[in-house]
Amino acid sequence: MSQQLCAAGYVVASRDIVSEDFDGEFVVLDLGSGKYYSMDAAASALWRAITAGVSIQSLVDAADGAAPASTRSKAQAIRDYAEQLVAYGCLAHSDVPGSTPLDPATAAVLKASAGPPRVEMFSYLADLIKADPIHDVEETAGWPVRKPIAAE
Amino acid sequence: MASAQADRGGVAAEASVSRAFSARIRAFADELLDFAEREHAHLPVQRSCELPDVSLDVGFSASGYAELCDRAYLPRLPAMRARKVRLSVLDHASLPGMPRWASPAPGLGYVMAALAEHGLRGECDTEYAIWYVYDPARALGVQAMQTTTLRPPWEPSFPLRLLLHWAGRTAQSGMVHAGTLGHQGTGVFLVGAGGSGKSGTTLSGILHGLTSVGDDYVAVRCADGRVEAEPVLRVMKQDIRGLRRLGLEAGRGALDGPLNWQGKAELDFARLVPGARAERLAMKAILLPRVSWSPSSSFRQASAREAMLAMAPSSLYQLYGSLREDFRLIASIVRAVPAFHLDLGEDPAEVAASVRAFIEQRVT
Repeated sequence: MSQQLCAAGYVVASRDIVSEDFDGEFVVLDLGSGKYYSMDAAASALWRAITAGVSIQSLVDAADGAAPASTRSKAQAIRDYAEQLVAYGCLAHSDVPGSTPLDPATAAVLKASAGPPRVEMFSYLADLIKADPIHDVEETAGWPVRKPIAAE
Repeated sequence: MASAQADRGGVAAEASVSRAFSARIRAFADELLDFAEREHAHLPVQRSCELPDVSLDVGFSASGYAELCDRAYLPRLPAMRARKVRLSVLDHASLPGMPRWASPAPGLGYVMAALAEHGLRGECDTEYAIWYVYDPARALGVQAMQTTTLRPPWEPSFPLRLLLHWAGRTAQSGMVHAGTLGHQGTGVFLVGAGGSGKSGTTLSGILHGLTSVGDDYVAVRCADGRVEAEPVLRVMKQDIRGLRRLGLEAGRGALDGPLNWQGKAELDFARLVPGARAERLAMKAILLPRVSWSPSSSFRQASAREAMLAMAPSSLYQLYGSLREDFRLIASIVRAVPAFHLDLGEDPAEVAASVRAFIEQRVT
């Protein structure tokens, strides 16, 4: 993915995307698909900033300050993160770049983060919605293992 | 009522419905609700049920389903609740004039999506042709069945599940899927995947002097930073192997009932240990148990995000239909009380003693 392919801006994809902040760590739920996402501190900082209207370029600029190679890696990781969330259906492209200033706390998190932002997706529950109206989970194996054959 | 504000209730994207089909479903739901409203006072069997902020008057067109509810739910004295709700369980065999859906039943999720656009809760079980509709504005719900015996095999474990979930929902209260243990009015939630030790820990705690408000579904209220839990169901479930680990045997004493559809024993834990059921618990922590095979149990801090990921999935997807509000309610619980990993020791008595000591620490 190159910078030229990135959208001008990003917005929350729809009203079906809801999120909750737990001490700086987000859990995002897609009401439409039943998928949910767990974000580490770096991913959560980006989510908070992007959904508040901060531009990707501001976030990339904020990652500056480390060694050049590291900076390039961080900038790409931020763009990859945004595109990954577009692919998940949590964010959508926008022609309008965000204009909200980046707050210093988020900038500090981005500078301090050692690795790429991590988003963990849980999709098995989306299948459970459709196929398993109530109890039909294999309890001896646990989530997310469904019973192989519905009991009669 | 505007569609932009509607909670789609965890409906798959492909369940989005055409405007005309949505209108038909809405019209049928309205017919059912109007019919239920006319019939409710004349239904031959009546029961009452209490949830934290809601009093429910439940009418039945046939006694069979009422008996399921009698076995599943606790008798509760009527209280001055903030809201009163009427629910009707109707069947075509008893009420041939009840509106019928003329076409093939809509697929799972379609009814929910269509009705959510109009501020209603609803679902249709296509296999058993059961319609569930709830109108929050009218505080009125209906479960429309072919006959009260034509129902899913899991129905006796939690009859009226969806209607109670929808009717009992307020901004601050609802039901969650969790185990609970308590001591002298203070309690903890136990949440986690099947096989984590949640149910075994709950039952062993009860057997060793702790109390509980339930192991499967409990009513919760979260307001002003305080979380309270109350019982909903009379019974808890345990598989035969789990009972044996605790020195219990199905078919004897309080375990004399038939096994449920999963082959599990359903036991009234207050019959097993008199006094074990608490009327209400002030919840002070969320425990995430894990079978660790350690000599003794230990607690360590868990993040709120971990607690959310442990508590939300089974609650959201077994009690569906108001996903947006339920997500917020569970988040508010997670923020209100701290969470801890509980690495379970091998000895049930030691586990129970550890949980008791933990609860006592939370009080002081």
